[in-house]
Amino acid sequence: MLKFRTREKYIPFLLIALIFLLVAGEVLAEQEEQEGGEVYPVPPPLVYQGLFPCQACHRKDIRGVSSPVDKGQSFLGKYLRAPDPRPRILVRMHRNINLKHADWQWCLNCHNTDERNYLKLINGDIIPFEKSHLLCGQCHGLIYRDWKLGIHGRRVGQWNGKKLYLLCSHCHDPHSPKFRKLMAMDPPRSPEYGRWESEDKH
Amino acid sequence: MKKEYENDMTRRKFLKGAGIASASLALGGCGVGEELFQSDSFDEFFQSHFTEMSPEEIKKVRTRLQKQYKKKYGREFVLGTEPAYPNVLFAYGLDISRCIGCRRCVYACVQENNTSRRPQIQWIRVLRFKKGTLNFEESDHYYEAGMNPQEGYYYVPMQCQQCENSPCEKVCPTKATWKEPDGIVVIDYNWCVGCRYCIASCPYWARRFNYAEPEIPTEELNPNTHYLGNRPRMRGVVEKCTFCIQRVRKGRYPACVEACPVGARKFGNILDPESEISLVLKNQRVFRLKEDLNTQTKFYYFFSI
Repeated sequence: MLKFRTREKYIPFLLIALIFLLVAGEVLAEQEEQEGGEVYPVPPPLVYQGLFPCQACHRKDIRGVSSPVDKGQSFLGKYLRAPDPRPRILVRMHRNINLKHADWQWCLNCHNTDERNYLKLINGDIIPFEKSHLLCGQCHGLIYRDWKLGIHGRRVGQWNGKKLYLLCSHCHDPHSPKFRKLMAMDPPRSPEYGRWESEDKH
Repeated sequence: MKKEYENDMTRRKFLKGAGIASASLALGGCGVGEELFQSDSFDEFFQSHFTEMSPEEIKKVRTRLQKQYKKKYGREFVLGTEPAYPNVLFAYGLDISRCIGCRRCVYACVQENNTSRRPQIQWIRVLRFKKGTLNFEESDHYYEAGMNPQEGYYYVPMQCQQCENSPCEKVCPTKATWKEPDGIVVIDYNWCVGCRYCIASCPYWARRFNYAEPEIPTEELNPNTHYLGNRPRMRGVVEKCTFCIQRVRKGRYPACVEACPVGARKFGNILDPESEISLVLKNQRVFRLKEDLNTQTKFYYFFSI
């Protein structure tokens, strides 16, 4: 039997109360983070061919830090390096990804360092690619508001019913989002006096 | 005493008799009389105005037209006659800052609405303006196809504005064009006589006339049609954008809205406060073309950025 002197006997109860509060706080926080409102089905996000899932290469090793795996470098066949957080132009891999999205961007601003299959928000939340609109909406808030209302972007479906919603990355390439120019289609035939269009014009 | 020339059979009587005999032989002999009163051209000629037709008459017109189209084009056509949804008034929004003038809407409309390819008829016209002016006299809609958007220009597509107070409806001598309850100005091609007063009166040059029999390649025909919309037309009638009445009366978006690659076009029911077009009208600074003419169009343009 433990013997407590004076007020030390209250310590276990305080500990239990503290733990309860911590757990309760966690649970409530999780509930607030859930998105309110309706759920819209969206086609799966576009991924670069051959690069997803990122964690095939950027794997967590036993130390819990993700790093690219270079096979064949050591006797064990694995050479693990810590991820380099310095902004730079990549030379060894991902050279075909042209990052032209605001002047100060760097890959790990949006891509989660530890778990590369996910993206990260400014407040530290980790989101899957299916919720990439939350990431884009951080900076492009007005567009995000319009997109949620359905007045941004191409609309396909029923005006009085189900509509197709697309994610940002379905139309905008997140690495270089400025639209490339499109080839316009042919102009209308100029009217010719006195006869229908001849075959050899245009 | 009877004179020789005083005969019972005068020339007049002979000709009368001969005429009646030959006519009755001709009609009765080949049964043309029967066919005449049941033929398509008879029905077409004595068709009532669409708004005055009973449901049975509409059905008869439908079967007749479907038969005609099958015979002419060799394809089964679905000729819809859906009425307007209740409590619906359509409006259209166009974001000029997004339009790049690629003309995909023009060709999607042509494909959807069975417009003539030769002579070429396009219901949507994309005007190209130099940045800094909204003067229609200086716009160009024959601009060459290039990599769009071109520097220094902006693009304004135009089609029938479905005016609430439309001049075309006022000037039509036969009432072949009228405004339906959901706001779409429609044309009954069987009632149009081809006088082209409506084309003269339209301030937006939205209407087109079939100067020749429309030529459409059979594989490009769209068989899902509406009587007042995209059914194949004949020579000598006026046609125009109908907000894809065959689509919107089934709840779908018009073809141009779905074709726009940059999402510049917004469509919906203006009477529903939650629809996209209502939100656009609430939040954007919209304007209409030629508002001084008081045509009360349903086409709202805006610059979102």
